[in-house]
Amino acid sequence: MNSRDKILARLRATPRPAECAPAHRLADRAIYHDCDGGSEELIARFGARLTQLQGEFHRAADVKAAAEVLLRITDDSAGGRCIAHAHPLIRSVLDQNERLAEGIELPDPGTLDSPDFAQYEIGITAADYLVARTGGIVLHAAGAGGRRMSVLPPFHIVLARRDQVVSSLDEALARIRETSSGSGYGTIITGPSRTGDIEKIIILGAHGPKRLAVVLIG
Amino acid sequence: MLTLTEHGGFRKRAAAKARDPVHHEVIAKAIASYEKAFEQTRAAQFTNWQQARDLAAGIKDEVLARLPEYLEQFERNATAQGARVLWAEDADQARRHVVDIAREHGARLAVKSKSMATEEIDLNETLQRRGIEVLESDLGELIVQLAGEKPYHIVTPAMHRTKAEIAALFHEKLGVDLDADPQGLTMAARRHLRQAFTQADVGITGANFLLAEEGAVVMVENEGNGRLTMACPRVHVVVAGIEKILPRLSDLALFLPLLATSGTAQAMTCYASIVRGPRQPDEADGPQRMVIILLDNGRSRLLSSPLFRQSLRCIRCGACLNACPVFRTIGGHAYHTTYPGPIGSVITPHLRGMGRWRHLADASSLCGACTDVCPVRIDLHQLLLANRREAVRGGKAGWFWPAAMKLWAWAMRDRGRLARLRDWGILFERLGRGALPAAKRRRVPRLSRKTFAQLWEKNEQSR
Repeated sequence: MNSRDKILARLRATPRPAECAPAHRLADRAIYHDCDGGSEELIARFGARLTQLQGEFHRAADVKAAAEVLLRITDDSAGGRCIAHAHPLIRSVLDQNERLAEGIELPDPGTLDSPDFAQYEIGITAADYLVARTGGIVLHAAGAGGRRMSVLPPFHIVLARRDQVVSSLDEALARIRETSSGSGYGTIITGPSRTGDIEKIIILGAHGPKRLAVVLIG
Repeated sequence: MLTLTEHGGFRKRAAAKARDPVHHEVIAKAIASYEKAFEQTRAAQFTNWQQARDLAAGIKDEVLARLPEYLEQFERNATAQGARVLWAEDADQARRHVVDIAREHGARLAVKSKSMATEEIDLNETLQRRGIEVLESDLGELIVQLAGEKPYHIVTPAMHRTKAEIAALFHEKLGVDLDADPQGLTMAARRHLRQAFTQADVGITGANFLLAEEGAVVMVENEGNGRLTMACPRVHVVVAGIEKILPRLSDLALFLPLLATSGTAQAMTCYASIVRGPRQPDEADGPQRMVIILLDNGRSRLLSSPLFRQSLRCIRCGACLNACPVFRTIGGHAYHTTYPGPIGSVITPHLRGMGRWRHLADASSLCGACTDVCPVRIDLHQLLLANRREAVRGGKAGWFWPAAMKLWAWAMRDRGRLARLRDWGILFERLGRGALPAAKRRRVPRLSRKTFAQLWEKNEQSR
């Protein structure tokens, strides 16, 4: 008998409690404060939470305005190389402004394994969902240009549309379950990287991005 | 207490820390800041914290009741995603699995993110003996690794260190300025590890949750070192206890906020990553191989006890450590266990043997503060009491307590006997009180010279 079978046999040999009915599942709202409202309210909440966590929240009426916002915030970290995921939303924003498109590398997804990410100052990705209650950004690797683009560069910029804002984590997870069942990697980002390991003093940018910005379009 | 004196210097270490004012100040400050933030975060987020705890305990109980089925489901689904699932009955098997994987890939350098399961199996020492360098990447873990220590706390490994001590350590080991502030120290750690992430052959992580239905490993963190550990090296090794299972993805909507709130007083940690296998066909990057090691190491023994199985609900948030007056006083290192504090004192005797570790059950005032804060409602102080009982019944508590209890039971049955016991006590007070170990540190209370009945009578007369 190998160790797998031995462990499973040991577990099976233990007496089970008489009652092992599935745990009663409560509606989300029985536990958490409500996070309802129209899309504008949800957006406002998301923005407030993200800002509270020291992320940056920008709004743009359309892709053209988004390009201007992007130009402004990427100019802030002058000189650094910038890489973006070739996602349709990001492409449509870059198409709006030649100067912007020139400054941003948009490698073919097939070649993303090769570049040495250590040299990039900024990574621009799309997102799947923005969670209003927590200020969280849900993204999966296939939709975000891989596992590293959103974590290795010191500045991470997220582009998203207003219809991607959901009220709660519960809702975001339910939608992920429906849509991206084959995905290999997903992450929920809630604020810039931080540590409190030295005397509980919060320092941003421990190993992940020190700066995190969301540009919401629409 | 005589039972405390028996095990390898525990009492000595505990006593030394209890009288260390610097230690007291550092820990009191860290825990006070946690407690304040915890209350704020909990109130801002949860309308019904008690119900959240009930629900979490219920889901974990459901997992434990069907653990073999869930583990098989997890194995099936993780394998379908291209991960390899290995099983380890004990620490030795788990270590051998990791060494074999590292050798198979010719690894020289492994980068690690924080994982208590790997602490439990002393993985770093093993790999280093085999010529594989291991770098801890979590800042707190890096600090204790450079200092040659074990983690002080399961969530905040370097809680006991002051910023000046850390600066001195980084000055010596990494050449950082002696007067560097926490900002400078954090950036030094970032620079120190940046290369390691891209050069390491193997990334080793733990898991906070294993999702049966998804075959996914879930890991939470704040620094981003965990994400880099999982994303950069070509091999990703996960070491996870078999109790880490959650049935489905939607359970994270409860467990992620619950763990973040109890663990670090955050609504959510900065990162919660959900990994299903190595790099998939539609992915741009990621490890070529992913190996998940499912670790028993005594957990099936806990499961087989109707009383102690609830301790497997534990999500390793560390809240019971923070709440425990004993932990705050003696610190995390005095225990000499992987898991210090109440949860450690509950499970260690079962994982490593009652004979050597039963004294841990005495390292508790049974005040129940641990039970009050546990997010999965483990009845910690009752289990500590049960450990004491088990130690006595198993004849592992030495001769003193059983004999003392017998004497007490004998005396309590008869008023005359009780009076006699008091007379003996008074005699002992006169002759031998100074010999009591406790007399060196505090005033030993004196037995009353009058009986209760005499006091009562006197009281009645003076009315």
